[in-house]
Amino acid sequence: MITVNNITKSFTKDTQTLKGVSFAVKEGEIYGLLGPNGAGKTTLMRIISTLIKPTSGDVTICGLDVAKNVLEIHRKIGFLTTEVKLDPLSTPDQLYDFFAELYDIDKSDADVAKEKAFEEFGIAPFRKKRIVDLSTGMKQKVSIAISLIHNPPVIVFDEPTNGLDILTQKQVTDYLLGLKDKGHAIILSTHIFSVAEQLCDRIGILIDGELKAEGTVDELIEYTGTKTFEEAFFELYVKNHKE
Amino acid sequence: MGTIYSFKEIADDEVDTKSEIEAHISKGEMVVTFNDTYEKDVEQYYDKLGKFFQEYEPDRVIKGKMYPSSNAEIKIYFKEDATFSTRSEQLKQDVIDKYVDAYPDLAGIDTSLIPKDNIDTNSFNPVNKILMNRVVANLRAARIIPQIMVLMIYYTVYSLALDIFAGDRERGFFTKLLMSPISPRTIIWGKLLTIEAMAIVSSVLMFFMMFLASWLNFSNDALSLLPFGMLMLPGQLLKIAAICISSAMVMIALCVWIIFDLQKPEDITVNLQLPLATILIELFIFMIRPGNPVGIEYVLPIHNGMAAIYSIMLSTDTVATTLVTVLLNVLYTVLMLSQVLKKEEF
Ligand SMILES: Nc1ncnc2c1ncn2[C@@H]1O[C@H](COP(=O)(O)OP(=O)(O)O)[C@@H](O)[C@H]1O
Ligand SMILES: [Mg+2]
Repeated sequence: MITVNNITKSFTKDTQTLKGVSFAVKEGEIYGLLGPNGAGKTTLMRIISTLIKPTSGDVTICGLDVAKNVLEIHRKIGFLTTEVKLDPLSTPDQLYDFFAELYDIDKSDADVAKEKAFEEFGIAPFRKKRIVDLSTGMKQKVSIAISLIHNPPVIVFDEPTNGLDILTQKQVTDYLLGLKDKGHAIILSTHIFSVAEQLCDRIGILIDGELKAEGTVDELIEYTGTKTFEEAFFELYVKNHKE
Repeated sequence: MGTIYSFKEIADDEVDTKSEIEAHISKGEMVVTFNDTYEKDVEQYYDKLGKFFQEYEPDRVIKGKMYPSSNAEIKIYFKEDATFSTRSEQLKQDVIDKYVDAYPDLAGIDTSLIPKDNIDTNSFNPVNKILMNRVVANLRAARIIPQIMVLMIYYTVYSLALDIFAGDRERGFFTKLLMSPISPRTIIWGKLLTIEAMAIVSSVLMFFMMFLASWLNFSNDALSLLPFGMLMLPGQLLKIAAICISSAMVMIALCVWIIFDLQKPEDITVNLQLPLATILIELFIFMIRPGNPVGIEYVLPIHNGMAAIYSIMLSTDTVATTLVTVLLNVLYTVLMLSQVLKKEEF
């Protein structure tokens, strides 16, 4: 469903942020990119979502080359990040309607979907409040509801649990697991190995712009010859990170 | 206040002779006469005036063109030995009140303007009076309004651009918009046109407020910002509108250019405020600046808006000054915006 093929990215002449990353994600799978801060996770996620262009390499989603079918891809992909804040003076209701229009969703369909999403995330009581007046967790939930308004088959989620309290974290992760069961392909990035361990079917370890290892939790533990996933991650990190 | 003499109106056919008039004024009465074709003369005069102003802006007329004149004549006779204040009081109460419909307008206000035995109907003419006020008012307004308009437009553009370009990007909301199936160019154009529309609305409102400020200034207070009677002709208004629209474009392009050139919101705010400060300084310079803008002033973006509106209000503009300003502004806008669109790969 998603194929990332030998992606490199250089922001400046003498540094390479991504050094040839390749992996693939299937339907109904959660793929996790785990790596320390500055590894290039966000950059990679933004490349997959067409927000920045790679220096070389290509990404295909549902068989479409991302670079050549930008607007088409936008209908197939939901890009979420904790850094995206919504327009502070609008209400969840207004924003939902606005984005439903941007995605040309039929008004009556959108209204039904809105009720469902607002119910599911517990946004309903806050639907007429301005975004500035909402808590961080509520903002994030509104943001998720709006980013997935077009029910995209592919979901790209950069640091899904950043800055959220445990309850909201659980709500978000449960929601992602639900989406996976419905057959969505999900890529998420995180620097917290417990999140990766709990959520992901397969994990790619991204260090300094390179994918150092890839596999299920068990495979990674076996590959590194360690006992726990935590140890496996540190083992890989120590071995590969050059100061 | 002296004696108020009784007034007796004398119909034209009753005052055939000089002696008859003298008989009346010797009794202390005032005599008002109109020439035989008075009504027709006045009508013709208005016709002439109307046609004349369709052709020329009033201020240009003053610089050389012959003003249309009228043969209509009102004569007021009164006793010579009456004191001045008596005379003017009598004139005011007896004649003006009575003949208010026959354009006795200016007479009651400044009696020193009234010749002893002959009153120029031009000075009774309300249209003339408006035009006289207009000349004074426009001259003064030209020193304030262009700058305030430009300031208002820039302020609108600056605050909106800061929020819907820099703010949206800073919040990450821009990313969310870019992820929609709407093309980035459409999103950018939507934002640009929104700012342009708001800038136009605010400049129209501003101009209207200035117009009101002038026309509500009945007492023509010397300390007031705008004298009574500021008036732009439709042609002038159109030219000013064109200048405002093109100035707003250039300002939007400049702000967007700055916003996309800089990353940090603090840098952006400081840089966007620089033009604001400059315009404020110019506001004071224009109040005391001499004469007409020189050629180069129509070339500098933002400043050219002020210079062009200034000369339009003074009626010293030429086709070239307006056209150069508008076209250059469009050119600057296209150059800056295309660079931003190219750099950001929109
Ligand atoms: N727009 C950019 N311009 C220059 N360098 C960038 C840009 N975005 C990210 N980088 C650099 O790329 C590297 C990876 O950043 P990022 O992808 O955000 O890492 P992560 O999300 O894994 O923490 C960092 O060193 C960062 O400085
Ligand atoms: Mg990141």
